[in-house]
Formats: sequence, structure tokens, C-alpha cells
Amino acid sequence: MDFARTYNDLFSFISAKRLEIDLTKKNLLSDMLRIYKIVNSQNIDSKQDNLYCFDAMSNEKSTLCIGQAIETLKCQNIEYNKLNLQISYLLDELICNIQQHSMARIGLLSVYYDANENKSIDICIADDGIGVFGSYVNSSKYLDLLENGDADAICLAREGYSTKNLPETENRGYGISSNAKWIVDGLDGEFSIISGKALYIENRFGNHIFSLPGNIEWPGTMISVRIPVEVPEAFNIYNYIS
Amino acid sequence: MKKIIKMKDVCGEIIHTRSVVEKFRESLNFEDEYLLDMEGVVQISRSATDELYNIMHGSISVDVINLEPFVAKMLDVVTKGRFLPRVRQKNNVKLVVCNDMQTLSRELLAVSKSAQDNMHR
Repeated sequence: MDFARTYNDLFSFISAKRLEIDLTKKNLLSDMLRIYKIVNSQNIDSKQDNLYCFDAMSNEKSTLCIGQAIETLKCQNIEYNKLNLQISYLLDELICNIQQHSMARIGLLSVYYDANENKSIDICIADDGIGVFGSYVNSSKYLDLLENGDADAICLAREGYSTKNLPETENRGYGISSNAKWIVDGLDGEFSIISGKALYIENRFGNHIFSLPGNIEWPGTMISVRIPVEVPEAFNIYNYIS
Repeated sequence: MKKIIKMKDVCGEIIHTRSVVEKFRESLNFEDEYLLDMEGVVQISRSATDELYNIMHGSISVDVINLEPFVAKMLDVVTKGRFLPRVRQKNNVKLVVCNDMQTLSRELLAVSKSAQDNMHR
């Protein structure tokens, strides 16, 4: 597996070669809106290069988007059925996170099956919301652990600290943490997050967090994963989400 | 008498997000008793199951029947999560400050190279 390619993909996504968004102009929202309008003008259920845009606060549109992405993968990948449950889990939880925490207006979901080089499914889920750090700040929770802003916030989310736990139980915070676990530990894939001015990369060789330079940032949250389609016989997602 | 609700008709065969169940909860009356028939709901997300658990153990009288295997399994995962202590994997990762693109590129290259070296060992 060519790990370098993931980062290249990620950065071409950020620098918007794929989406024609120029983040350095700090006009992400208007660009996202433009993309949203393009997709919307062809009806919300249309698609462009396996990229789906959806109204982040609409259950119906989010659900429609998840369904379309899954259908796309099913069409592209004859081995998809082995990963149906896992990918549904991923999409459900991360899109649920957008609805519950991001205060975003727009969500973006891209799915891509690399049949040749990596034999993997690449999925990117992004929103134009307040970011992971913004979510913690909004809730006034764990602020003493967020000295390094976006970077600390991502690490905290990765560890499963939720802003919305019930008082007597830690029932939330599984969206990012459990998905990273099954993808990286279970299937030897990769898990990356960009939120604000921090980038987090995790693969079986380690975890890395970087502060991004200058005017490079993603004002909301973008999660990018690479999931190998070869699933070991012994793999059981319940071992990672329990 | 308990009101029977066919959840498939209300929420669909697949319940993707917590918000769907939150919306459903808002439609329930405190004075009534409910029997949620889950037949035909073949898949449910963990978040939606967590919210279903909240309904089942909240102030409204709610019982759930006819759970499909996947839904039963997810409810089991969520139920155990409520009672077992949360096991966290401490993320001991050191922040690398990249003040310019060159530094960032160099750091990413190092990460990539390290991964490739490890693979070839």
C-alpha cells in the first residue's frame, strides 16, 4: 500500500485540485455553497465524480446521501458486501456527528474505490461547521485540556471524549474513536482528520498531529479514511466498537 | 392498553442517525404506553441505538419487540457500554508545529517514508 498517496490525495483535496476550492482565499464556505448549488441544481440526488453534497441538518438528505454513496460503492466494487456493515457504521456515525456537533450547513461526502493500486475504498466526509475545537468550546467542556486548540481537540475526540455524554454514563464519543480503531487496528487502513488548523494522521505505524502553516485550514471538519478491501477472516467489527 | 408502533413505517428499514430517533421520541406522549415493533428494521446505527436505549429507559413506558439480529446485537453493544467502564486508548502523540509548507511537506514525507520502511522490514 502506498501510504504517501493518501497524504497526496488529502492535500490535493485540501488545495482543492479535485474540488476547485482555493482554501488560501479563505472563501471555503462560498465555494462549498457553489458546489452545493451545482449539485442541487441537478437535484440533490445527482452526483459529480462520486462527490455528494447534502444539507447537513436534514435527516432526509443526509440519509439519501448515505444511501447513494453506498450504492455507488456497491456498483464499483464487487467485494463491497464484505464491508457493507462496516462502511454503513462509518458513514452513519460520522454524518450523525455532523448533525449533532458541527452546526454545519453543508456536508460533503466522497467515495472512491481504487481497484488497481491500493485495492481500497477511500471515503472523505467534510462539513463547513465549527470544527472539533469549536464544538468543545461551545459546550465549555474539557477546555483545560485544549491548550493547543485544534490539535488537542482532535486528539481528545480521537480518544472518545464527547461533549454530550449523559451525566451518569459515557454513552457518546464513539463516532471518531471506534471508527479509527476498526479501520487502523482491524483492517490496517488509515484515518485522517483535518479540523481548523490541525491535521491528524493515524495508521498502524503510529499517530501524528501537525499544526498547519499560514492560511491553510479547513474551517469545519474533514475526515478521510482509506479502507483496504481485503478483510481478514478473523475480523469482527464488534471487537472494535464495544 | 399499549400503543403498538411499527418502527419500520416510522423510521424506515435502516435507521442511520440519532436525529431520526430523537425526532421520533418527540412524538411520544408521557401519558401513553408504547410497544415498539422493530420487525423489518434491519439496520441501525450505534448512535440511533443509543437514543433508542434512552427512550426504553426514560420516563415514558416503552417496550421493544421483534428485534432483527443486527439491531439486537447493536442494542447489546450499547447496553454493555452503559454499564462497563469506558476503556480509552491514550493518544500519546506529540504536536509537530509546521510554520510553512516546506516543513509540513518534510514532516509528511517522513511519516510516509517511515511507514514504507516499516512495511519493508
